[in-house]
Order: sequence, then C-alpha cells, then structure tokens
Amino acid sequence: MKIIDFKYITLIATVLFSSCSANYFTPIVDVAIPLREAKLVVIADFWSGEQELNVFVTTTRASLDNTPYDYTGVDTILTNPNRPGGGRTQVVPILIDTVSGVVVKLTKNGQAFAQLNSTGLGRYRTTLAQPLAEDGATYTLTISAPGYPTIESTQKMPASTKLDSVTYNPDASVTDPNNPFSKNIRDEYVLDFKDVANQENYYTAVAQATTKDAAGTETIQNIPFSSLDPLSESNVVTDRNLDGKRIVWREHTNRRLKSSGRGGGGGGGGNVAVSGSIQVVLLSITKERFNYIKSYALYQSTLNNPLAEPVILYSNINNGYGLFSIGANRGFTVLF
Amino acid sequence: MSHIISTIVTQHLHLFRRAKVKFSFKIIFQPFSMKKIVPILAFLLPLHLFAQRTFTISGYLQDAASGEKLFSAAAYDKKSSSGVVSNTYGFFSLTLPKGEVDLVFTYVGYEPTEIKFDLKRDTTFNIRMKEYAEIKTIEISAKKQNRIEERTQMSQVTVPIELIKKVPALLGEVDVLKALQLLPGVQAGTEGQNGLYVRGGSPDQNLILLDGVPVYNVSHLGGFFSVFNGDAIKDVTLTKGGFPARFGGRLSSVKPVISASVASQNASNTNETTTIDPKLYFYDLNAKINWKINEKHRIFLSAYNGADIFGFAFTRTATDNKRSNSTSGGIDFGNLTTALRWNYLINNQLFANTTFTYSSFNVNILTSASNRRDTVVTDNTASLRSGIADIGFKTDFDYVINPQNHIRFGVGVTNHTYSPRTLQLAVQAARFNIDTTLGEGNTKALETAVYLEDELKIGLLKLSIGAHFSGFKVDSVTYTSLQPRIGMNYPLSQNLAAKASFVTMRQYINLLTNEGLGLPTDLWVPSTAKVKPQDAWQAAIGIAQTIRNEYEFSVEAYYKKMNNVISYTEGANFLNLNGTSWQNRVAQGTGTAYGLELFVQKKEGRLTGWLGYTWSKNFRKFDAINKGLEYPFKYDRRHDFKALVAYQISDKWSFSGSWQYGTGNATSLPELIYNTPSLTYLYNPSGAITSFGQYGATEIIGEKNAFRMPSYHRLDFSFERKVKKKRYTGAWNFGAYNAYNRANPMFLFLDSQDVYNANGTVTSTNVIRQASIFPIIPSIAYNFKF
Repeated sequence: MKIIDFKYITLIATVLFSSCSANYFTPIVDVAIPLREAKLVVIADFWSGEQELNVFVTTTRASLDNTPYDYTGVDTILTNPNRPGGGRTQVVPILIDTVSGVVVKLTKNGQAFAQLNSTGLGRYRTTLAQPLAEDGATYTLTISAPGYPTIESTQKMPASTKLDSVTYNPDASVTDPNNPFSKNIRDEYVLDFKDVANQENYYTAVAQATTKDAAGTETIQNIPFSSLDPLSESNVVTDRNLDGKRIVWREHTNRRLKSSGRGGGGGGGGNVAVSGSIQVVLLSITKERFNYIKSYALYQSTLNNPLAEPVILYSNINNGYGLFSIGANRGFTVLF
Repeated sequence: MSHIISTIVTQHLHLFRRAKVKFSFKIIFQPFSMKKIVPILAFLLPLHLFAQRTFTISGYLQDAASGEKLFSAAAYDKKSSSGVVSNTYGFFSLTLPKGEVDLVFTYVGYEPTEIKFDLKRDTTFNIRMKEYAEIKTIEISAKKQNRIEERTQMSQVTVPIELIKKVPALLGEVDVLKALQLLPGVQAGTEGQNGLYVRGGSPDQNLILLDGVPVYNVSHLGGFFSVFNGDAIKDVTLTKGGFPARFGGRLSSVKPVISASVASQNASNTNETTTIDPKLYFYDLNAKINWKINEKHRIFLSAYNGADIFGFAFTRTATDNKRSNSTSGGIDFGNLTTALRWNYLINNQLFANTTFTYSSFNVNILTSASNRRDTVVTDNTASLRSGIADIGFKTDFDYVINPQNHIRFGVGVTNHTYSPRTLQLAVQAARFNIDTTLGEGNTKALETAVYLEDELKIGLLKLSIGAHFSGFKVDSVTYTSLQPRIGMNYPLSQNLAAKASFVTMRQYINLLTNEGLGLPTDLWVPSTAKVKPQDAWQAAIGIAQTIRNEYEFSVEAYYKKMNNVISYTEGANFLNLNGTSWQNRVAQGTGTAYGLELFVQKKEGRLTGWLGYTWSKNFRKFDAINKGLEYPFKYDRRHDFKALVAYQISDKWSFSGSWQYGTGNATSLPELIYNTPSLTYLYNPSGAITSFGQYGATEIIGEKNAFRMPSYHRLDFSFERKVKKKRYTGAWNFGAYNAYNRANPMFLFLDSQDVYNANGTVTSTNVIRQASIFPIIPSIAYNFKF
C-alpha cells in the first residue's frame, strides 16, 4: 500500500490575550533573599616604591535593600597624575555606604607597620617614611569596625624582574588569531625579560608616553596595554611553563603615538608625535591579584547576560569581600 | 543428569559454532574449557524444560494493513502459560513442549489473534494483526501478556504513538518529546524547551535512537517542536534505568524511536515542512524502504533529514547612491541519519540484525556584510561551524533458547568526527584579502562496544544479567570500560511484582551547554586526554502492578551517582571566542540524584492517559565552580506532578488535556551588593602606581543555585474533530497552550524599578524580575492526509 502523507497547517491563529501586557514577560516576583550579615569590603592595592598608601573601605548591603546610600553624589578621581601643570582629574558619580569607626592596620612580617586614617568617603590613607620596598616581606591588612566581623588578608611582596628590553614597533600589524577582522595597524611593544626562577610569578605591564608634536606641544598620556599574545590571559603573563626562562611578550595599544595615517587612531588626539619617550613598567603581581583580575573581567563580561554561567567574584579577604594586593614594578624607557 | 547437561551444551555449542564461523567469536570463548562452560550454562537454563521434547514456533508479528513489524507484541501459550515478546523487528520465537498449543497474540490497539494447533515440529508463520476499527471499551477476557509486572525491565515506559498523537500540542503539531516530558522522572528544562533531563541527568546523557541511529539534535525552533514526525514513528520507549547491556554510551536514558515502514518492496516517504516566516522555517524528511529477499533475509533502508533555517538580510543605500551597505546572516542547523539494516533469521531461535549507520549534526552561524563607497567594495563573510558525524557498524543477535531464557549479544564500532568550533573568514577589501579557517580542528575517535545479556527465569525469579564493554580511542589515549548490568523481577502476587536493578554506564561524548538553553549553539565534544569520560551507576527498586487489567501502576526509588560530568566554567559560553580551546572552558565534577517516582497509566479504551509524580533531589559538585562546594543542579525539582488525559468523545470528536506542576528551578541571584572604585593601572614617574578608578556596583552571588524560581504549572488542552472526505481525511484541532495564562519563569534577574514619589521625586528600587516567554497561545489547525 502506498502512503503519501502530507500534513499542512492551513490556519494558525495565535492571539495573545489582552491581559498579556509587557508586565507579563518581566513581572516582579517575590523571592526571599535572606538578609545576610553585612560585611566589610576593602580595595587595597599597594605597590613597591609607593610612599602613600590608599585603602577604600565600604560595606555590603542586601541586594533588595532599598534604603538610601550614606552618600549619593560625586567624587573626583585622578586619571592622569603626571600631566604638566597638575594631574588630570575626573568627576564621577558615586553611591557609597560608609562605615563608622573603621580601624585600618597594616603589619609587616607580623610587626605593626602602619595605620591608615580616614580622609572621607570611605578612603583611608597614610604616608610612609620610606617608600614600600621590594623586600619580599609579608604584609597583613586588618580592618575592624564596630558591628562588623574583622576582615584580614595577607600578601607577600613579589620579587620584581628587570625588563631587559622593550622594542617599540609603531606600524605593527596586530591580528587576533581568532579573528582576522581585527587585523589592524597598532603600536606594538615587545617586552623581553627573564623570569625569576623557582617561584610562581605573574606579570603585567603599564606605560606612559611623553610626546611632542610638530608645534612643540608636549603631551603626557597613559597608554593602557592590550595583548593578543597566547602567553597572556587578562593581560597577565604567568610563568606556568616558563619558570626561570626568558619571556618575550607582545603587547599593543589602540592609541597610536606616531600615526603614519594607516589604521588606528591618531596620536595625541590627532597630533602626530615627532619626538618623545615612552616609559614602560613591568609589574610583578600576586596570584591573588591575578585571580581577582580574571574573575572581575569575567564578571563584567557576564553582567546583564542571562545566557552566561553566573560568576562568583573572587576575593582574598577573609570574612569580607574585595581585594588586598601588593605588587612590584621595574621601569624601562624607550626613546623615539 | 549427564544427558540433560549434554543436551544443554549441544544447544549452546550450536550457537557458538554459528557465531564462530561468521564473527570469529572463537577467540573469546577459547579460554574457557568445557568443564567451565557446562556449569555456567546449566545455571542459565531451567532444567525441567528438557524433560520432554520441545519445538519452536517462530515468525514475525506485523500490522495487517501496512505490513509494519510490531515491536514488543506478545505471543502467549495459554496451555503452558509461557510467553515471549517480539523483538525490535517484530520477530518472536517461542519454544514449547510437543502437543496442543493455544496461542494468543496481543498488541496495544490491535485485536488479539488466537491460534490452536498440535505442535509436532518446529513451526514458522507470520501473524498479521488488525488495528481496532474504532476506539471502544474493550472487554478483556484473556490475560494480556507483556504486562508491567511480568517484565524484568524496570524504569521503562512505552508510549503508544496513538497516545502521543493525542497529547495536546502547540499548533496541533504531534510532538514526541513533549509527550515524554510528561512522564515522571523527566524534565523539560526551561520554558519551551525540548530538553530531556532524566533522573537528574543532562540532555547529552540521553541516547536517542531513530531506527538504531543516534540523533544529536532533537528540537526545532529552539525547543518549540521536536524533530520526530509523529506520522513517521510507530513506537516510543523511554528507559530511565536498569539499562539492558545492549545499550551503551550514555548515562541517563535510552529512547529508541522506531520509524514506521510499509509493506515489503514499497517505499514510505513522509515530508513535513512548517513555515513560520519566509526566513524562518524548518523541515523534516523521513524515508524508509524494506525489501524481503526471502523468509530468512530482509533489508531495510531508512533515512531522516531535518533542518532549521533562520535568516535575515537588509540593505541600506545612500540617496546619492555613492554609499551602500548590506548585512545578512542566520543560523542553519540540522541532522542527517541513515541506516541500512540486514535482518537474518539464522534459525527459528537465532536472529541477527546487522546495521550500517551514518549520523551527522551540523550548526552553521553565518554573517555577511558588504560595504560600498563609490567603487570601493569591502566584503566580509564569517561562518562559525560546529558539528559531529558518525559512521558506524553493529551486529546484534537474539537467541531465544526457550520462553525462560533469551540471550542477546553483539558488537559495534563507530567512527566519530567532531568539529567543535571552526571559524571561516573571508574578507575582500581594497587593501587586503583574507580567506582563512580558524579554530579547533576536527577530532576523530573510534568507539567500540561488545555486549552479552541474558534474560532468564529461575523459579519465580526473573533475571536480566549482562555486561557491556566499551572502548574509545581518541588522540593518543584509549579508554575502556566494563559495565555490569543486572535486573530482577520477583512476583509478590498474581498481578504484583517487586523489581530491582543495578547498572553502570559510561559515555564518551559531551554536550557543552549553558544550563537551560537548548540553543543549537551547544557543542558536541568528545572525551579527550584532558576531559575524562563520564561514568555513572544507578540502583533502583520498585514494585509494578496491573490493576483491573487496565491500569499499569509502578513505584520506583532510584539513586544515581555520576562522575566526570561536564559543565562550562563560570562565565563561559559558546560564543566566547577568546582563543582558548573548549577543553579549557569546562570543568568536570560529580553529580548525585535520587528520588521516588509514582506512575499510573491507562493505554486502552475511550479514556487513556497517565498520572505521574516524582520526588527528587539532584546535586552537582565541581572543584572550579561554586568554590568547590556541592550545589543544587538547576533542574533539582523537589516535587513534580504530571497528568495526561485523552478522551474519545465520539467517532468524530476527541479531547485531550495535560497539566503539570513542578517546584521552581534552582537559580543564582545576587544576595549582596557593594560599590567600590575599580582597579586601574596608572603610571607615575616615581614608580608608584595610583590605582583607584571609576566606581561601580558589584553583585555578590553567595552560592550557586541557592534560590528557587516560582513554581511551574501549565494546562494545555485540545479538541479534535475528524473529517472524512472521499479523497482525503483531515482533522480540525482547537487547542490552547498554557490555557490559564500562567507566567512561568524562564530565568530571574535583579533589576531596578523607578518609584514616583508624591513630592515629584523618583526613587529607584531594586527588585527581582522573572522573564517569561509563553503566555496563553490558542490555536486552530487543520491537518489533512491523502
């Protein structure tokens, strides 16, 4: 018997009832989120050579706590501290929960080292008699406040490594191995250094350029690096497979200092630099900072993305949240 | 006694000789001495059967109208109270003592067939069974066979396609998977999905076979419809545990779907295309042909092809016609399966099925852009592909020694080619051209399997014992696994039996998926040297009963432990093109699931349907996720209730309805928030770094899946009116999906809501919202057939 079976839907009437307003698709629901104990949050990021230590302290609040923040306003942050005539600043809106009676203490190898004092809006500061040294010491940050569990974190000053050379390639072709569409002409910096053997090391880099255009106008600008080098992750190189070996790491910047007119952005806001210098700093960071950077980048990439697996942000603060890290840096200057 | 043993040995050696000649099983059996074999075989066979002369009745059970072979139909001798069921290909073999036999053949939805004769020799005949002309209340006089309490197999539900066709479905489309989702122990995933989460497993842990060929993608339109065409399928069986040794390669379930064929030497083609929009459509093509060479040899060829096509395109041109740009893109994905089967009836007790298979699943995400400025044209094309292709061979033997002893054994080899993610890029521009292929290359793997299982009866105890051995060679590593399987059935009374099973399973394939999304962007990837194969063991106990000859009732408790289950790491998803291999974006951990299932099913009569309830717990644990702590799986559902009712109101009108209720899925939500400045790197001439930047809010998820979405419940119903015309038959279908317009959650998220105060100010407050996608969807459809 031959069977030919055709099915055809001749009429489909799909009517959404009038009750299906926009609220149908995203209604507010009542989910019992427990009011967890409030905990202290700290952002403390110290570097060797730094004489002024800054710490930011705040507190957590329940995600559905709709009471007003202690401070809703603006703050001034430093975006370019070395600009001629004074650092460039930027006014940013902030919402802060401040904590009363905070005591911020730093110990070095178990001995009292510094106590930081409030400067307002959750900031605590101290000026050291001597810049923080690259001495491999162990620092413990302890923060206490009435009504909160005391938080604590320990970091060991990592050993810095000498940046042996930096090669500046102003017309480099930079290609993402996973996306040739990214093939662009960029300023490339090839960092060459030898890993410190027999320890786990994490490196990142930052740079500042001082340039002059044809009119003799001097510009100082921070030039944040990006890297497509397979060696790096979140712009950090680890010595996981390179212990004690020489590392050649390629980084690039999207802002071009000596634009030849092909691709990329112009240097210094359209002015082409004719002379200047670039200071590159190789930073040695701790594993905890690397974990935080990775986790935070992942966290940022998944914000407002219900398709992504949720990210639990890394923290090395016992009994609290945030980050305490200590790093070391070594500079290098490239002239062009 | 020595005579009896020698008879047994002769029978088994008969099998071995056959096997040795054709399939070189000599190597396997050589190490056993005859002294070792004899006691083993003596244990396997009930001895009393050999006290008198026996003969074998064998043949095929088939549909009288179409010639379709009937799988799992019963052949029962009233006189000796012995019976068997037909195998996948409709073949049965019943060995009985010499003398008068009173055979009755039964199958759901078919009129019983009775035959009486004097059994004097081995006898072969084919039984052509007739479907009931119309649904009516059937007076069941003879005891039906293959009843739930008589089967050794537990944790298995067979749903007649006639009942599946009555399940209320969106737009009147028959949907096999939607019907299976209504069974206890099975969850659909999120709203609208065609996912199958069986007893705490993941969708990749289901072995879905179409005519013995694995099918990798079972959904159309992101889960709205399944790929299985209800008009091309004759039976669906879901096995949730107690897996027979002949199945392997997956941890959680086996769903053999058998497509319909027609009488010998005729072809069957079923083509189905549903168009939602000119640029959004899917289709399924099924074809099957069989050729009866003679009574001993039959050839079957079946094929399936289905695909979803999504596309978009737009062009923008400047008014001066000097500039224009156009963009187009889309997602295409689909399956292709083919099976060439050879049934060989070696003798009236030994049946062989040899199958050559091909199965592929491919996803292609395409974008294309063209930009023109005056005469300068730049064209970009990007195509992101992933897929899997299998070529396989397997041969299976059914050896029905007698009604109390049924042996199955076989061997299979599959060559897998995995294409996890390949990016093909082409750029044609004035200054440069790129035409390159990037990403992870193909991975080839060879999977082998050998199994032996024996279904036997010792006194009142029915046993199914066996082992499945599998091997997997990928890259430079080879994995092997020996998986013992055992199932037991012990009658407690005439219609009540206790059952138990213990199985171990292994699978070498993984589906990388963002939990809850059945998008075709999921990746099928193999076990590798770095990513270990998944293993599981499952133990189950329960009781089964047939009540008043009409209702199948079962209660089962299960415990399942899974090792090396796979998940994306935190933050990862398919579209992360950060250059790292998929192997670096996954974590492996353990899973634990346990629960209790209650099920009542009525398969025949005007009123059919089922009620199912599941209480369960389901956890996962990964070192790299949730700080290494165990957490509830997203589909950890404490209570799950499902009801399906189909009622034949009259010859023309029928009604069906389903209602389901489930505890809300587990989900992660921010518990705490804090605002801090971000870390930035700023250079300072003194060498110091100032590192406070922009302020931002950070949400803290305490533990993964620590919260529950609102509960899920939904009522669907449909009325159908049949129309009979001279040249065709048709049916009007009036239905509603989500009839009482329940806003069921797909996911939850933290959001802010503006509150307008009396003094004119606006305050922003944080709230939790749920995303819901399907409100009530009423539908009217007309299907016709000619």
